[in-house]
This record gives sequence, structure tokens and C-alpha cells, in this order.
Amino acid sequence: MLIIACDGFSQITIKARNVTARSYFNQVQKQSGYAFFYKAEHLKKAVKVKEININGDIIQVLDAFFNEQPYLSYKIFNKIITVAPKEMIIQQPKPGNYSDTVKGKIMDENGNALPGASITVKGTKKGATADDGGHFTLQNVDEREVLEISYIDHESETIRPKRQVLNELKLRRKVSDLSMEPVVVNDGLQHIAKERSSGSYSNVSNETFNRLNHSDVLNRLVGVAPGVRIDPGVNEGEIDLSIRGRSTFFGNTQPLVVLDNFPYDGDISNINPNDIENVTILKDAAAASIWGARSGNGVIVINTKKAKVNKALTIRLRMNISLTRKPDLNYPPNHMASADLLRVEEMLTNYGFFDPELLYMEPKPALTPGILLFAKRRAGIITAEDSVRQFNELASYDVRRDFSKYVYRNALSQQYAVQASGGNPKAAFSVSAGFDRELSVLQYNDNNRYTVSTNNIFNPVTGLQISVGGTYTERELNRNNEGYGSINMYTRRLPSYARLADEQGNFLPINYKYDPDFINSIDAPVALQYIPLKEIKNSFNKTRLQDIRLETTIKYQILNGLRLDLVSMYENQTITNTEIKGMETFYTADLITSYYNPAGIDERKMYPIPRGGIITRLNNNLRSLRARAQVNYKKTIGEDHFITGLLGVETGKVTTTGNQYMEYGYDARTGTTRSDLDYQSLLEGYMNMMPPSNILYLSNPMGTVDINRSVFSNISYDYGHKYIITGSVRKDWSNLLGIQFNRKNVMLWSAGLAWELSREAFFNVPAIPYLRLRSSFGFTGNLNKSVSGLVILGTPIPASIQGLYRNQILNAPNPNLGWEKIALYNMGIDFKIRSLINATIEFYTKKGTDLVGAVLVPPTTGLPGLGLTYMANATGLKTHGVDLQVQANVIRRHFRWSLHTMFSYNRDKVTNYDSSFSAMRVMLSSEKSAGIITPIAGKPLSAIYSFRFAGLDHLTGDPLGYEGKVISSNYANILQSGVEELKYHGPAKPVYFGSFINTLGYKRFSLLTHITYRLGYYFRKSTINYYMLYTNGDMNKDFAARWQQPGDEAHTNIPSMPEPGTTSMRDDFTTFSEVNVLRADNIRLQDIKLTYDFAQFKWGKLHFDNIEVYAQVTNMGIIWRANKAGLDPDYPESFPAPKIFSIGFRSSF
Amino acid sequence: MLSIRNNIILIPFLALTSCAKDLDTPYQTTLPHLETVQDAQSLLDNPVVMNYNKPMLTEFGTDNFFVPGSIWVSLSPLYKFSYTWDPDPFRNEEVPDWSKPYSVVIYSNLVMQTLNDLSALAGTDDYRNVMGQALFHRGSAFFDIAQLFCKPYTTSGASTDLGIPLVFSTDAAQKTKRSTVQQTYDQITKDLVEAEKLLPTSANIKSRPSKAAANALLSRVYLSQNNFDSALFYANKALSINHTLIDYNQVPNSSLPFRDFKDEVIWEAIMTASAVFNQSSYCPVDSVLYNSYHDNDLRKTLFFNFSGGQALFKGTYEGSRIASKFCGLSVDELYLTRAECFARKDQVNEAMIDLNTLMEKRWTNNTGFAPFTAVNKQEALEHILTERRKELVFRGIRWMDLRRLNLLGAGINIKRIVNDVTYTLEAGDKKYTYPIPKHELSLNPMPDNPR
Repeated sequence: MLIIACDGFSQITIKARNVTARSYFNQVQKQSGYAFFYKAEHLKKAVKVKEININGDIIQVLDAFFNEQPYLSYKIFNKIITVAPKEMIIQQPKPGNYSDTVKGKIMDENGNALPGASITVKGTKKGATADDGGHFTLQNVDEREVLEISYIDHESETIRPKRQVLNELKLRRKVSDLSMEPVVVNDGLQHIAKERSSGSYSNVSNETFNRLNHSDVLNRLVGVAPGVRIDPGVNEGEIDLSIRGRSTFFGNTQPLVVLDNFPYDGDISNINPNDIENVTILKDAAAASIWGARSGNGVIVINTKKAKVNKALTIRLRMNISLTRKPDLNYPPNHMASADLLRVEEMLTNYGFFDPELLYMEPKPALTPGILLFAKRRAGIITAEDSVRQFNELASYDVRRDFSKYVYRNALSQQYAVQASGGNPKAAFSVSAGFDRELSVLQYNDNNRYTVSTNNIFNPVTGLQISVGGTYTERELNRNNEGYGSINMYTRRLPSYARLADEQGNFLPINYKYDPDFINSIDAPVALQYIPLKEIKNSFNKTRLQDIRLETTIKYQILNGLRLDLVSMYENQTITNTEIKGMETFYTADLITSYYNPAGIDERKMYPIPRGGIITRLNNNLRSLRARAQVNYKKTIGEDHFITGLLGVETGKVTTTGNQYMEYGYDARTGTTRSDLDYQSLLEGYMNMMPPSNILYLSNPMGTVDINRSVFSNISYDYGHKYIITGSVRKDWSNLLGIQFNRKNVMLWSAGLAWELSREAFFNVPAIPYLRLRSSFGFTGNLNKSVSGLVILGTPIPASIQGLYRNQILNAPNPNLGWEKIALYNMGIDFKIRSLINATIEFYTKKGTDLVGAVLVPPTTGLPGLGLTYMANATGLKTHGVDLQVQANVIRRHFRWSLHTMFSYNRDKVTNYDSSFSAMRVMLSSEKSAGIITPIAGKPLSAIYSFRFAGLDHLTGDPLGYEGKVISSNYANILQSGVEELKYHGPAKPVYFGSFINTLGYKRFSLLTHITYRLGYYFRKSTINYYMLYTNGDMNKDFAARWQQPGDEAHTNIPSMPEPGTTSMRDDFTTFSEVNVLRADNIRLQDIKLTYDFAQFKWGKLHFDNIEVYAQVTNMGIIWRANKAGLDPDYPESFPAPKIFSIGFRSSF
Repeated sequence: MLSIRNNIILIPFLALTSCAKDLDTPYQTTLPHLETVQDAQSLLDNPVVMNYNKPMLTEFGTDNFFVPGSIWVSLSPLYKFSYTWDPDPFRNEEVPDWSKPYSVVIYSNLVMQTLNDLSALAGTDDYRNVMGQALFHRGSAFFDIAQLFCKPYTTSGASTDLGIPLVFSTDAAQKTKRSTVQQTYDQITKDLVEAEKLLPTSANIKSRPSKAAANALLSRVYLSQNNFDSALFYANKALSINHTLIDYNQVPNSSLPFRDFKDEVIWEAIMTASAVFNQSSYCPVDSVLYNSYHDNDLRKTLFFNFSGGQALFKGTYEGSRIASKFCGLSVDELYLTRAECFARKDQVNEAMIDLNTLMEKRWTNNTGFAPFTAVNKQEALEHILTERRKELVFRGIRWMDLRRLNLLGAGINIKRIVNDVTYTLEAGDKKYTYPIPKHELSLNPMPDNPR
């Protein structure tokens, strides 16, 4: 440091309290030999300084005093210090570089540190970035220079550094409602200033995350980050989340969820979203490869709310009540008008189609009331008049009305959450509790969740921080009602004219499994009536889940810039499912009766299945213990070199155990079951109700242990914030795969580069204040827990004969199995346009190699004969895509308008796959994400194919297809044609998707609309399948528009109703013909939310920092769709996602 | 101070190097791995793989039954074209008659591989028994494949004719080439002879092989080679262990008269469950064959259900199972084999004694059984072969018999008429050897059989 007043008294030490100007000057004069010159009247304006403790040169010593003076300043000339009011002091230029070090802390309005905030010297390239604690150090600052402090989404501030240590500098948040990307990302291992990384992160802020009020985490991620696609899951109500598309064939397809530092092993529904502070989605290799071999599907890092030191007590409340509308039962296409169905049944009965059931089958199976009516008419038991009357009566019923009235409901759900936190410099705490009660639109189904969590931080000595936290979750799920479609007649669909209850609301029985005459004719020991609504009411299917998670973190500052973190986590999750089928349920009554032996000599022989309920229990326990030690290093060398790095080891063991078992003779009063059953003997069925059978013995123990070890390191070098080089490397070991040691581990790495172009001197575009290019390449991995190198046997099954235990091979062993590797390349551009637009665009490619896939092996290996698929690391998948995100604050005055839009493009292609599938198999799969997949090289992993369609035959209404180029109705040949004969439509998953979030605000009101779009994909609609209509009673709305007479082919593609007895091939052809493939593109209004923000609010003694009330509608519905059939392409068969109306409030005080 | 700090950094890394052994823990903890003799036994006790998937083409290509044209048109290609002895009978279909026996082979090989790792137990009864069972099953599977996919055994051609791929490895990545017919039969007899040494004399559990079963199968194998000395030798050995015959007079007639494991059965096996073949209504019995049963022959009523002008087979020895056709080893076959061997060796008396011992149990005793007589070898053989076909109908034996008898000059030409088209299979036709399925050829190229 250069000091001009260079003499023998250069070092001055002053320690004083309540210092007046005079006494201070005296001391300085004594020690330095400098003289003071001032007017007494000016000195009156001096203020006392509370405490001065300084050791430095004359300038520093004087600054220590004068920095605290609002009115006075000084200047030095010839060892004379002139003191005068500021306006009178004209600083003369100092020779050379007068410079100094300025330190400070940058915070937001609430006092939270803003790590990554930047402070720059205006007009120069000098600058610094705030560290994790928001602190910065800026060297060589001239006191006349102006500093600019900026932070994304916050208003920039300029200051003059009159003091070396600046007070806390607070930045105000911009008037934008959407802040998608705070500069700091937490990848689970460290906080990284985004501008010091080269990776692809999407940060979902607390605010964005809470925009929706779903009670589960995944649903809140709909449309909030580019590249994140949420599709309807295989099962109704489930969702399937993917990050930048699927990257494996048969491996785990779910992204890795990291909850507070560690991979989360429990059920993601356990997490109360109200406890979540923010979510970061890691998408590329630079970001995700630090999570190693499980990061191939991307990583979702979830951080819960944590205690913070030095914060006043804050209490947050959140309440939400929502109403889910019962579904529209007119939507599902699997319906026919009652009269239409009756006419079909009449035709079939008269044809003799049901004669085997009506005349020969023993016991006589259940047939629909219609069939029984027409059979009676045919046999002359009833008159034509009666028949017509009964026909008309049946035709007047519509079972959907009963479903809507008795099976569904408008469901009310509630969410309550409270959180309290506070802290002093030594310790801090945070406690939260939540209760969620979610009723399903299906009566008797609900879902309750209680969560309690706490987090405490202690700083016992300088440099040491200990934090201890825990979460306890308890959930209870009742699943007693499966809804529309699940109620049937055992082998036939429930006819559209069935009745569940009469006008008075009395529950009615339906014909089920056996003909009512048969039931009346036998001497059943228990009532065998099947009353669907009573079955639902009596059902008992309860799942309880308890999950406890404890976490300890110790952070120790070893040296300046070097910190050791020790983290450990323990989780224990227990799931118990109990299903009781009481004696009054048809299932149990039927079983007791089927085994009933009236000739039995004692109770045990008479009732081989004892009278009483049947109880099935499933217990499942997961224990997970994980620990990590990590050294973080941070160093600034000179002015421009910044190095950060970490090196760590991690170990984890996840053990699951479980059992599922069934017991008979359950007595609800005593809770006891019977254990003296004869499972070995082959027993005759009572009245031929079943073939000779054993009593089912169900005991299904299961268990896994998953052991992992990893070493990882991450390093980044930053030159003047202009150029950044990052690298990471990780090695994983696991017990999952391989017999040879070298197959049990995998080394993954990544490297990245970033260049902040806008810092370059040559870059001078005022409209673009910020422009940054980044690029990364590396490998992530995935693995498939379902494959094993070892021969795995099943659970030994007691064979029905001679007491043998028999077993089978469950897998095709492959000792050479290894990890799946995914190479990722990502290129990103981040830029700002004036202060209006903030945008990021990324291009990426993913190349999966060594993916585990089915490899065809010749039958001589014995595997095809066993139906076992040989899995090997032999397949590949290539994906490329674009993610774009733009945030614009168009107007920001009293009236505000901001727009946040996301666009993603994602296309994948199977590069090699060694299997050949039949045309039918290819079409049967690919419909649903987790179904059977039939990868075909050169095509997307999920694709839609069809048979070409040549219209309907003019004379018969038969559907026509092609054999080669020839129009044909030889369905057998068409169905057996090769895959190459099929028409390829396109992907079954959206290629283009994204969202628009528009926020309009006026004063304290804001109105948010969220529109999502999904484009460039196809789906298959259902149609009438006559074969299934005849044999099963399957219905479809298309029936009404079928070909009925020559000429109809001009306006319909729905084939005529064929003669009974034809094969299913005609219908298979129609089902999979191109006319039933539709474009799936759609735009939907996802939600609308109106918020009123009371901001600061006083009510008696309570002082609220913030109160917000809102009303919201979710799943408003489709605005535009490409298909003309009125179908929701994401739910072509079942009910679209229900509309949810909710109101709620959030407050903190 | 600095060094202590350095050491703190090192501690976690030391933790990693310890307990690396944990990585050997299998992921699945409850599902057993194939490790013990009991595990091996439980695999061989899986009848669905080991016993219930025997080839059905051994019956399907024969003259014992016919498929009505109305049903034939709706059959899947595999059955449709096998039935008419088409040059390309399998089209592109999976052929269970090829793939299922190889599943038996891999189970057997896995068991043997496991046992080889447990050689310390090699002297124990259980070990010997399980090893013997595995060898028996493999030999049996190789034999089944050989009957369909390589030319009938001739001493002149065996060393050059192509045999079957003999698979000994459990590595699915390995591709096995075809052997010669001689090597194939050598391996079959080697496996069975070895098995015979290790197996217990007889098995209470009929799905498990025994010495009796190994001898009975060896007898069948040698008979298929027209090696009557060896066939006789092993038939004798097998019959010395079990020669019980069911007296059909004691069997009440019903919809499925032969329930479960009759004493006559030595080893249980069932032809692969093909809907076509096992839906007995699809496959009426050849009317000439049906009419050849004498009215006093109890088999006429116990084996067949005659209604609507056609006879349907119901006489399987697997009566309790739905739609299954027994094709295992039993005492009646041994008597017929031994009788034929005696006759071939001109021991007409011994031959007729064996035949009559069997027929006495098949004929009604209301009218008194009139024993078959023969004045010479030719006459004896005629009786024996006629009764052999009638006794072993739908037992998966006929195909083997047609192949070997035609080699001896029997000149049996069989034909079928389907929807007015006549198809014939003449004696010695190369269609007596099925082509190698295309799934095999495409993944493991090998010379095909000419058709």
C-alpha cells in the first residue's frame, strides 16, 4: 500500500470510547506530529464516535474518525490537517494510486446474505463477488470511485466507499413477481455462484415453488423449469417426471432426488412441500456428474427451510383449502347408449352366441340382465310385450348417473403449515409442522399426512458450526374405491344400463360371477350377493407410513479458505398395508363357498377356508444410513484468480426388508386369524365352483441391500470473472452389479468452460449488459437394479403335489453386466437485454452408451424357452434438445406486467437395438411410458405406429388395409406383416413443450395465468372392438357412428358390426389402423391465481411482515387441441386431471 | 498445528478403504441365489420347465389324428404348416419344440455347474441324486431335439449327418455349433449311463428321474437307433426294477379315466401345452386307427370318447391335469420295446409272452383274453408293432417309430387331406427332419436341414 505521509511516525495506535473531536485530534497530534487546523464553530458539528480501535497510518486513523462524521471532512497538506465542513473541503488530486481495501456484506431487504452478488468499480473492470455469507473484499479502491452493487432480480445500488468497512448493504428486490434464477445454486454438495459455474441448473425459487398448492412435490414442478417434462403416469393419478427426456431403456427412469445433502431413499410424497425452501434441477454433466452413477436422469435437489443465525423470530403460517371437482362421467369413450347395447345383446342372444353360458356351462356364469331377458323371450318364457316393456325400462337407465352420484364426490382437501424460526449469533432454530388432508374424488378414499421437522444450528466456537435436524412424517392412505371401470361382472363389463342403487338410494346387487339362479339353487354357507356399493363401503384397505429422518452436519473452518464438512443422515421408513376382506365381501364369501365341503366330518374339513375374513398384510421397512466427509477449498490469488474446489468421500447403505402374507379366518372382534389350514391337499370345488385347487398360501418375503461408496472432487478456476474452467470427477462402487470387481465401479467426470463476454473491453453493447457463454461435457451414469450378474432364484413354491419345493431362475444371469453411461454435452448462453429481459438458451445432446437392453440370444441358450430376456450393456440412445427460458418485466409501475416463458425441444433416437419385434408387439407397447418398450433403431424410444388404412368396403363396411401395395381385408396377413410395413407417425411423447406464465399486477393485486403447451406428438384413441363387445361387453362411443349401409363409408371410418363368431383379427386391425392415431398437440390453461398482498400489516400487537391471500383454479382445461375427437391426448381413456378450486393465505410475522 | 489439520482431512478417506468387502453382498437378500444342493434340487423339481414342456411335434406330424379343415384355417402358422409337412413349416414363429428342450438343458447345466462348485459334497446321496437327475434331464432333452431336428440314426451316416448343437455352457453369449448325429447320440447315452450310476433305484416322486427311468430312456434311445441288443439290455434292466402294469379292468371309465400317477408310470413328462393339440376336440383320432381297436379291447373305451361320429382321445396318463398329454416313460412301452427286440432277434416265444403279458391287462376279462400268437418273426413283429401304435397313441412315440421303421423298410406313407388338398409324407422323406427354426439361424448361423 502506498502512503504519501511517509515519515517516522507512520504507525499510530488509538483506542478510545466516546471520542470527541478534540481529544482525538490531540492523540493523533501526539503520536504523528501532524498539526490540526480548524475553526471552533465547525468543530461543533462533529459527532462523538462510540468506539475507535485503530492501528494504522495517518490516513487510516483519520478515516476511522471522519468516516463517522456526517458533516466534517479533512485534508492534509504539509503535515497540516485542515478540518472543515465537507462542502468546503476540496480534495486535491493525490499523486499516484491512492488505494485501499473495502470490505462489506451484501444482503437482501430481509437481511439474508446474497452470496454471489457482485460489486464492481464503476467504469473499470475491477470487482468482486460476495461469498456464501454475502461478504466481499475489494482491493485497491480509490475513495473517490463509485461502487456498483448488483444482484440478479434486485435493484442495483451505487455507493461511495467512504469507509473501509461498509455497513450491511441492502439491495431491494426488483418489482418482478418471478425470480426464477437467483444467482446461487445449491447442487446438494455446495452453494455455487451461478456465474462461477459452467453447468446447467434450473433453480425453482420458493416463490415459484409455492405458486401451486399441490400437497406433493412433483406436482408443484409442472411447467416451472425448461426441460422438465411431466407426463401422466401409467396408473391413474400418477405423474411421471423426466428431465431432458428418457435416457435409459429398462433402467431406473426417475431423476435422482437429493434432499438436504443426500439422495432421498424414501417416498417423495413424504416430503411436505411447505417445508421446502427451494428446488434446483441439475441437467447437464457439469451439474449432475457430481452425483455420480445415479445422475443419468438428472437430479432434483430439494432444500428444506433451515435455521439462520442472527435472525429475529419469524412465524410463518400457510393454509389452503381446495375443492376437487368430481370427474365428468360422460368423458370416457368406453360407453354405449343403453338401447344400442341392448340391441347388440338381443342380436347375440338370438344368434345363440351365449348358448354355452346359458345351456352348458357349470356353474352357470353371470350374464347381463339384457341377455337373460332375451334368452327368456327366445325360450318363450315371457311375452313379446313383457320383453318390450323390460327392454324400455333397461334402456332408460344410465349407470354413469349412479357412478356420479354414489361413487364419486366433490372432494375437499386441506393443507395447514406453520413454521417458526429465529436465532442469535451463536444459535438458531427452525421448527415446522404440517397437516394435509386430501380427499379423493372417489368416495372412501383419502390421504392424510402429518409432518414435523426441526433444524438447529450452534456455533460453539469461531469457525465451528454444528447443525442437527430431523423430520418425522406419518401418512395414512385409504384406498377402498377403484372407481368407474373397476366394477364389472367378473368376466364381462358392467352394461351401460346397470344400476347401482334404486330411486330411494338402496344399494342394488348386480349379476356377478355366477348366475343368480345358480346361487339360489345351491346351499351356500355364506351369502353370495354382490352389491358393488356395499363392497366399496365394506372395503378396508389402509396403508400407514412412518418415516423418520435425522441429519447432522458439522462444518469446521480449518484454515482461511479451507473448510471440512462432515454430514450424516439416517432414515427409517416403515410402510404397512392392511387389506381386510370380510366375510360379507363377495371375494371371501365366494372363496369360502368354493372350498365348502358339506360332507366334511368336522369344521376344518367342512370349511377348508375358515369362515371369517381374509386379511393380507404387507410390511415394508427401509433403513438408510449415509455419511459424507468433504473438504471445501476457496482461494483468491492476486486480483483475478479465484479457485474453489471440494474433495469428498461418501458411503451409504440402504437396506429394505418386507413381507406380504395372507391369513384366513380373520375375526374382527378378536383380531385373530386361523393358522391350521391345509395348504397341501388338492381340494374339490363345491358344486364345481372351481377346479380342484390348493388353498393359496401367500407369503412373500423381500429384501435388498444397496451399498455405495464414492470419492468425488470438484474444482473451478475463475479468471477475473471472465473465464471459468470447471471440472469434476467421481468414482462410484456398488454391490449392485457384476461379479468381477472392475464391473462394480465406474468413474465419471465432467469438464466445463464459461466466458462472460460482457466483461470484455471489446464488448460494448449497451442494450446487452450481460452476456455469458458456457459449455460443458461429461459423463453421468445410471443403473438397472432389476438385472443381476448372479443367478437369482424365486421364492421356493410348495408344489401342489407331493410336498416338493420347486423353484425357477428369475433372471438370465450375465456376469459381464456393467453401468450405463450417458455422455452429455451442453452449451448455454445467458444474457440480459437492458433491464427488461433475462434469458437463457441451452443446447444439449445426450448419448447413452452401454445401456442395458434386451439382446436377442439364440434359443439354444435355453433363455428364450424360459421366457427370459438376456440383458446386456449393448444398446444406445441419442437425444438432443434445446431449452429456452425468458423472463421479461414489461411494465413495472403501479401497474405491473411480467412474462415468464419456457420452451423445450427434446427428441430422442434409438441408435442401436438388437431385437426384432412383431408388428403387433410394437403397437401394443409405446403407448404408456413405463409399459413394455420396443425400441426400434432409428426411431424414438416411444413412438406411434399403425397399419395403413384403405377405407371401408362399400358393400360390407369391412375395414380395408394393405398387403404391400394391394388393398386387402386379409387381416391375418396384415397383422403378421413386418414392422417395416407399418406407418410411423411420430413420437408418443411431446417434442416441443413449454409454458407461459403471465403476471398482471395492480397495486397489491396480482393475477397470474399459467398456460402450458405440448406439441409434436401422437396418441392412439380407442374405438369399438366388436370381438370384445361380443365376448366381454366392452363398449365404445364410436359404435353409434359405425357403417350401417352402403354409402356410409363416405363419412365414417368405423367398420360395420360383423357377424358373431368372427375372429378378433378384424378388430385388431381397426384398433391399430392409422385412422385411430391422432395428433396429440395441445395447449392448456394450467392455472389462474389471484393474489392480494397486504404487505406490512398491523393488527393489535401483532405485526405482520406479510399477508397474502389467494384464490386459484388449477387444471382449467384444454384451450386448443389438434384432435377433432374432443379427447384430452394425455388422458384418452380415463378422466382428465380434475379441476381444483382453492383458496388460501400465507403470512409471516 | 498444520499437520493435525492435515490429518483431519485424511480421516474420511481412510474410512473409505475399510469394509470394501461389503461390496460383495448381493443386492437381493431374500431371493436365494443358486448356491446349495437344495437350490439345485428345487430347480429340477420345477416340472413346468423340466417335465411339462416336451415336444409335441413328435405327435403332431403323425398319422394318429387329423385336424378338420374348419379348424385348420384358423391355426397359427406354426401348427398350420407343420400339420401339412410344409417345406417351411415354422415360418417366422418361435418353435417351442426347439427352445423348450434347450431350457431343460440350461437348467441342467446350471445345476451341474453349481454342483461342481460344491465338490466337497460329491459323495453324499443328495449330491449324487441331484447330479444324476441333471444328467438325465439333459440327455432326455438332447434326445427330444434329435428326434425332430436331425436325420434318423443310421450307422452309415451318423458320423457325417449333422446332429444337434450340444450345449454345455451356461454363458448366453456363447454360440454353439451343430455336432454330428453320432456325437449327439454318444452324448445322450453318455449322460444317461452316467445318470443311471448316480440315481436312486426308483423315485416316489414320478417327476424325478430314477435308475428305472434312465434305463427305460436308454432303451428308447437305442430302439430309435434300431440297436435292438442295447434296447433289449436296458429294457430288461428297467423292467427288473418296475414291471407293474395297470389292469384296465380295474379302471372305471370316466371323462378322464387315468388320474394321476399310476404305478405303471416310471417318469412323468407331458407334451408342451399347445392349445391346438391339447384341445382334444380339435384333433379327432384317425378313424382307421380307432376302428382297429377290438370291441373287447378296453382301450377303445378308456382311451377314446366317441360321439358325433368321431373319436376324441382322453386316455392320457395325466388325467388330473387340464389338457395335457403324457409322454413320459412307462412300463407298457418297455414291454412293447422288449417284445419287439425279442422278435427282431427271432426269439418269437419271448416276444409273444411280453406282448400277451401287456395285452392281458388291456383286454376285457369278461370274455376271457385270447392270447396273440405268431408262427414266425414277421407275424410276431406285425402284432407287436400294431399293438405298439395302439397302446402308445398320443404318447409322442409315433414320430420316432415312423422314422426308424421306415429305415427298416416299413414303407409307411402317410397323407392328410385338408380342404380338398392332399398332403403326403412318404417313407424316407427329408421332411422327417424339421428345419432349424429361423430365430436360431439368424442369431447363431448354422447349416439348416434340407426340406
